[in-house]
Amino acid sequence: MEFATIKDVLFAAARRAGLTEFDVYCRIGKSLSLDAMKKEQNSFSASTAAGVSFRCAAGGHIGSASTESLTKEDLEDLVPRAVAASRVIDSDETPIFYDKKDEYVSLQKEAGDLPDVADLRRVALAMQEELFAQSALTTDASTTGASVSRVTVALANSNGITLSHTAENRYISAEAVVKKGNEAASAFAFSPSFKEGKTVVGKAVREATERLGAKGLPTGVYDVIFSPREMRTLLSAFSPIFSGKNALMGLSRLAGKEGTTIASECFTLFDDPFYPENTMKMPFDAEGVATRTKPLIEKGVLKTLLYDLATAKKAGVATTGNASRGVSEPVSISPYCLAVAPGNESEEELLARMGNGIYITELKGLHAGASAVTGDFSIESAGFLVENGKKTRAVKGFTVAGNFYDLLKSVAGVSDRAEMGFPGFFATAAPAVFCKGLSVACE
Amino acid sequence: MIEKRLLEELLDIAVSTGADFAEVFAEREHTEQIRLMEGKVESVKDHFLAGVGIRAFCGTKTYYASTADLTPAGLRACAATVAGALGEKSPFAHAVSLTPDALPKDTVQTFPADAETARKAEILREAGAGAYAVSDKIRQVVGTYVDVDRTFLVANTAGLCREGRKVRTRLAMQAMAANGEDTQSGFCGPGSGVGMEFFERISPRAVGEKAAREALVNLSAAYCPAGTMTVAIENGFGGVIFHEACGHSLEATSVGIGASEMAGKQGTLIANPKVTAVDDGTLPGAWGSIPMDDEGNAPRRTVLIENGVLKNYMIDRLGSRRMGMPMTGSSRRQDYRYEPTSRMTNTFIENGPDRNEDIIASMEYGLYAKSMGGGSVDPLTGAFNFSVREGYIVRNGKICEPVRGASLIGTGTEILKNIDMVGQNLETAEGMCGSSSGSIPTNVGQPLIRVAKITVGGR
Repeated sequence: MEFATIKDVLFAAARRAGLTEFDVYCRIGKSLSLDAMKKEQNSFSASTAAGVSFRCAAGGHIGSASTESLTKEDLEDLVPRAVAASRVIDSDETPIFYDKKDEYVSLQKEAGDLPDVADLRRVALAMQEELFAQSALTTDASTTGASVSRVTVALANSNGITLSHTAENRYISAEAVVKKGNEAASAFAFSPSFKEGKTVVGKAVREATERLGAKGLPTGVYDVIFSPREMRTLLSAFSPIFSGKNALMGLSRLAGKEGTTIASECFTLFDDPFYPENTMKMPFDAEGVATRTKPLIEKGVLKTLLYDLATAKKAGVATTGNASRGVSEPVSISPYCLAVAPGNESEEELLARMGNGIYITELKGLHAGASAVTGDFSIESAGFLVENGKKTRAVKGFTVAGNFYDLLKSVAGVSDRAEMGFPGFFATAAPAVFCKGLSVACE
Repeated sequence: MIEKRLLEELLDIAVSTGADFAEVFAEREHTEQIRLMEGKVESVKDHFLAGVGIRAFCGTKTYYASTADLTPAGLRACAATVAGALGEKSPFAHAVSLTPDALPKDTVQTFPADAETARKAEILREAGAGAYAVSDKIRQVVGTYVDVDRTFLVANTAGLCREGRKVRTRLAMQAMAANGEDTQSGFCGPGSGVGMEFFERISPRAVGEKAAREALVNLSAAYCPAGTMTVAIENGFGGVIFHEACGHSLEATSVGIGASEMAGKQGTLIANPKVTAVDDGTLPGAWGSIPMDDEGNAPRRTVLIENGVLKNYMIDRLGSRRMGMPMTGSSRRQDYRYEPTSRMTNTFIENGPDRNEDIIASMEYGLYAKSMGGGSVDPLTGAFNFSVREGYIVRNGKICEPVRGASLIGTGTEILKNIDMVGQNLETAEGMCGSSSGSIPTNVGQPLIRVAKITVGGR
């Protein structure tokens, strides 16, 4: 079913029910992925999915309901379900449906056919050949894959806003599993370019091989450089601290800190819905507000938190266009691409300046070991010991512990090359970041 | 959910290009989730999910397609996608014949759909009030009420055609205690595999109080010291140590491709002989129990480790083909968008020979982990981590001051041998487990145990 039809069905049902303020949000997507193992195709999967959520103001509160079944009956049923949901709400949040005429950034339309199964198979199998050609340590558990997806996000509300945007995402990946004697190690690499198979495999094989022979290190306080990937991991885990709503609710220590120094002067952080490498750009938010690139932290100073319409009204500020919504979830606040601005030093120069410490290449279990409420983290880690400015040996089986708010202030340097993670409507990009004095537990 | 004749046609299409097996999975699920903040109901999620996943096997190669288009044409297109990915149409016609049957049903007294949303919101408000009443240092309480009612059908080319229905209910409270800028949190989140009757068996107010008390303990605690020490891990959610340190490494998902440190160790001593561990999807009314697995197999009790010896793995259909071993009713997935794989249900360490008081008394210095958070593992190396939500230092056999911010790390093979005392107060607790087939409800459990030596992450 097309969005125009979904909108017509729901708008008519809402008006029949006497509603005057409402919106319809829809995501329609399809994806293909294929992975290979032992130089053969291993699995293939395809999906077509769609979901619709309906929100309305009733009795002074917002109610919503959603469905992935798009029959006319199930769509129409959303209206009484949303009204019923509004009856149990007793928060003091005012329902607001956007009514301004914004200028939206015009993005290039995705068009044409997606790669088909034969394209994916060809790429994944070529990467398999590379995996075994590049190292005699590669094992049969190593996998390669290619994936492509396209999603259309559409929104229409009772104030006359109708918006639609289609984004496409494709990537190739390799998980190299290497074994030497009884010791096994693995590493994952990916690229959004289908032409980078050899490079992706090379990176996965090199990183997995470097991890072999890793040992522990003495417990103590160390200076640390987080690799670009691990800095992104930290940013993702602590992204809720930038939500204006969390600040209002006492769930972020950044409440009331706008305009004050919260990080080291060399640290600048943007929220960028149009980050160049991110194929999943977003010109409007889940309430229909035009999105924009803005600094969250500029040279250590907190410039703004992130807001949707209701939270902005409560806080007495303007929305930043960061309302976010999954099909089944209520509106919340989320960044688009949290991007740490690169500095002027190369990674080698950062290592040389640190002298002795640890270069972290793996952080695991942040969903449990990091608290966005307290800022505390204690995380299983791996990486390289750095002595006299050089990586000297692989280390693993230790934890790095600290507090994210303190870490922001302890940043002593930022490398000159940022790397983006997986493209997405929420993505992260970061260079390597040098932090002073973190607790390490091991032997 | 789908007529038998159409199911047979879909299976015929799926195997029409040379597959040796095909399966149709159909699902309808309703979720109601209510969120509380500052003592007030902030949002209600009322979501209806419906979809179909069709899978074909050619040896150990798999072909999967899912769709939310449930019209006959949409379903035929989904089956054709599977067949098309496999190859050209075979000249041989197939005629699958299904034999519908039924497994025993769960006993649910009151289905969530039969209860008013207002009553569910009241349960949540009661829990919130309980948390705020504990102390004026409790500054924020975030609560979630959730019920899920899932009906699913599996039909395959072996003739199996079965439908299952699973209801689950949960109340999860997080309380924040603050002292100036220092904010600490506490959590309590009991759940069940039954209907609204669950909320008559527990006190919602007590759930809120428990979360609040844990937050207060953490607010008064200093940071946990870092290093290697002896750790006693309490029952209930403490069982996450087995779930992470060993459970995932016993799933066919990794064992079947040789990417688990437990591959090839069946019949060998991998743990202290005091350790016996089980995965049991049949426990009545339990959060992690299943009426049937997501391949239509009956759930079962599988002894994984018996007196320290590795007895069995958790095996789905693909794992069974890869490993040449029977399936164990362990195939699970979040929903129709995910291809199923081997997963845990209710997984726990059985009671052991040691008295609980002897375990604490035996510790000269160490950590008592009263309450655990989640964790993760790399099955290839067995390296795992998990967080301690509420912990205390033990000195000279006595539980002393609280400590905050601890995590525990190690490797599965090493930790299983280091569990040197196993107590007698087995309890299970509810959690959500994430893996390649999505997020699913699982129970973890154990009695109080002692780990002779483990790395404690702290400061």
